[in-house]
Amino acid sequence: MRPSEFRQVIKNAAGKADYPSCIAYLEEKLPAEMMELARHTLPYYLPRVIVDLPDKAARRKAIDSIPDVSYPEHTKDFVKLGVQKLWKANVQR
Amino acid sequence: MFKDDLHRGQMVEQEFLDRLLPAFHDAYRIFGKDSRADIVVPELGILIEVKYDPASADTGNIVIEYYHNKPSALTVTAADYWLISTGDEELWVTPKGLYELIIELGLDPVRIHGPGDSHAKWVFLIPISHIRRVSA
Repeated sequence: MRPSEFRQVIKNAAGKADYPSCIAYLEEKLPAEMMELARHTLPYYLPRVIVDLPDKAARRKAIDSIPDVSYPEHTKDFVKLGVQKLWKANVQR
Repeated sequence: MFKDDLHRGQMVEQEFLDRLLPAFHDAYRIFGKDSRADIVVPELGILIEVKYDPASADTGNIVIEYYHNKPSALTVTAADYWLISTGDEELWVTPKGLYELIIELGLDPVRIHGPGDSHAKWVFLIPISHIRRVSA
């Protein structure tokens, strides 16, 4: 799979916002041997999708859909950190 | 050239340790392919990752790896601080700062195959100007 194709699959998965749906999409689209890479790439795309959700309830729901205990570890913390960073950057603009 | 850079990278780690030792006598290097940091400073209770990226002088980007056949570098780091040495300057950043920068800039990961690598790796190319902005 070309890197550009892989990135598009990750972006499409992240677009679902709900974490289990993201993972299910990845499992549908990628060979099993790429899932570990995909799981470690997804947290870099999720924050922007979540920040762009229409309201606080939707953003909260997306973040809460990430299990507290997940693989990779600390996925929820990373995504929350990313969301906070983007939110502050948006507020400052 | 790959072996030269690898050797130079190890020299950079040792040179940095040598600079620490007069003040922090217990500091030491960690060796091993899967180590999650390069230098321990027990007196401060911190771990430091030393990254040597001389190519950044030409490319303008620092290569931040996160997956190399398995989770690696930024994904697995236990270091409190990363010391990024370009050969011309040294930049101090935290792993959190790097992650925030990647998110803020909306960077896409790229796949590269470095000389000496048996597998391709996935990295983020972060413009050095932005790393300077967030460095200590």
